[in-house]
Amino acid sequence: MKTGTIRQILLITDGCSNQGEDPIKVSSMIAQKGIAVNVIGVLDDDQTEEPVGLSEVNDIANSGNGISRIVYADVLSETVQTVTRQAMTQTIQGFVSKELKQIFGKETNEEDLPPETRGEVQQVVEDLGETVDLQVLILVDTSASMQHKMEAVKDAIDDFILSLQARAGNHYYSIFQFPARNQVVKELLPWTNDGKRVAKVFPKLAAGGITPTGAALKQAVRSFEDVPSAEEWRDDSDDIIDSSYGSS
Amino acid sequence: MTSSIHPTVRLNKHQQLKGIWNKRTYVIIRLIGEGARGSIYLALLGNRYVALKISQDSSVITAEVNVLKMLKKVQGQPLGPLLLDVDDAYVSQSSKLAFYVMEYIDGVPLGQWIEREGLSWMFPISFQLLSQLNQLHQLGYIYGDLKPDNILIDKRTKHARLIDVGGVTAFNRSIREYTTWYDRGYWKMGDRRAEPTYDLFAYAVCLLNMDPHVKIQKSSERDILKLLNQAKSLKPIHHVLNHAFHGKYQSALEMKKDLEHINAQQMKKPQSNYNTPSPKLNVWPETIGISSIIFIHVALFYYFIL
Repeated sequence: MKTGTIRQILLITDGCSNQGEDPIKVSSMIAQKGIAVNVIGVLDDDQTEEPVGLSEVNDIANSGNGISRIVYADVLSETVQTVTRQAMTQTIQGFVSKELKQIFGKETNEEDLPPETRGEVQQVVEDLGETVDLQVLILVDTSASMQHKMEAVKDAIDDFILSLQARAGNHYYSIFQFPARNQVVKELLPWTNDGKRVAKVFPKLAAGGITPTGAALKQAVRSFEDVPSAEEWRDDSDDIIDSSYGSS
Repeated sequence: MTSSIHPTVRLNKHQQLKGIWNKRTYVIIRLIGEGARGSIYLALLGNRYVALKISQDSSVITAEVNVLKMLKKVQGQPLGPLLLDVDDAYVSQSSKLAFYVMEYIDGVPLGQWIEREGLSWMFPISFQLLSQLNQLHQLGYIYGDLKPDNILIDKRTKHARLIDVGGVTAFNRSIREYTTWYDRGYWKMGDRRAEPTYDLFAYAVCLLNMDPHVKIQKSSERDILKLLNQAKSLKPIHHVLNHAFHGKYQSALEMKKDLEHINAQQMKKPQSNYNTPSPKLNVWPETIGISSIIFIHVALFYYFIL
């Protein structure tokens, strides 16, 4: 069976956007393109677990058909993996419900089935989740307040790639930061499946205090059009990457 | 479509959950566990205590039920808790959630047990766990999220039981759920693909964690072998841990055999610094205590008789 590709944006941020377009609106536009927007809000150590400013995190994910979590930096790694996996399952379940609708002729969620039957559907969902191709665009908020969390973010992404590599399906990921000097978003790593590149490209310096989340999402999503096709990929996977990001 | 899932579910004491499909009614007693994927409550079905797992995300429940059903087919000692019921219930007027019910194991998590009862329990517990892991591996699955909190020592039978099957993964698949400190990927000692060596690595970290000299969670050390060197109380089993960390045990039985061998040697020479083959004795203080009691008895004996 030919399986498709699941596309996701993973936004890692620590606060609400304060400039440019409404990220919630942008997020629902992105969702309409079939790309889920997942958001992880990173708390400061002294913040309570439900800070007011971070409610936007849930709203962006909600309108982006994605998953959100608000966590402290030390559990970021586990969270990235959980969020991605859950969002993937959710997307696949979406497909499956459509299939069920065709079979039963009416809107049918997995939850409407008796628990026994649900188990079999779940098995299919899991198998798909393991084998489907996955594209994740990681968008990292590098505004000043995120500076001391960068190490945790880097570790989390590193760790995430390890999980991607364990899957049977193909995966591509790319990394963007926002804001960057003189631009809203900056591509740090173009689409790749090479796990070793994360450490080299990771931003060491944070930019200014503005957080144009909406605009950043809008610009970053365009890069999904640049994803190399699987065929292209296998031929010269090492040459596609512009090595100029390397050590600078 | 559900999103922004926060998996925990708040239920009140005495709240009743009535299954929609199977019509059983459960009375909630208290929260006994909370994971990344749901909440576990102690509940009553009639007059029987049961553990009830409920999640905002029904796929979590379904996936774990699938695993528990698979484990149920195994003969011999139970792997994981026994599954009793699967159903949906309204937790409020508007929210219908999936849950499953399993036997309630009244136990103590591994870490606490060792702290309380002594390091010498390490051996009997390891033998039990490694044979359970071996059984699971025979089925073509690994446990995945092996950590002290997922290992309960049943208060009544004093047997180790694996709870929380959320991490159980078929061979060669990507690990479903893991915890940083017990994950070999975190330590850069291997990938995150399911194979028996993954569980044995995690179990070796569980053992390492029993050593009071080692503080894995508090340390920023990212080299597990350096942490191993700090484990002074575990000297006799260092080579076993080292072996497991390097993924050199092909099966849980191999690791078990090596530990049995060490245990047998320990029994033979009780004067070594690791000298408590019988459970309940804590390494040094007890030894000193016992010898002083013997000394006093001997002294009294001499005093009164001679």
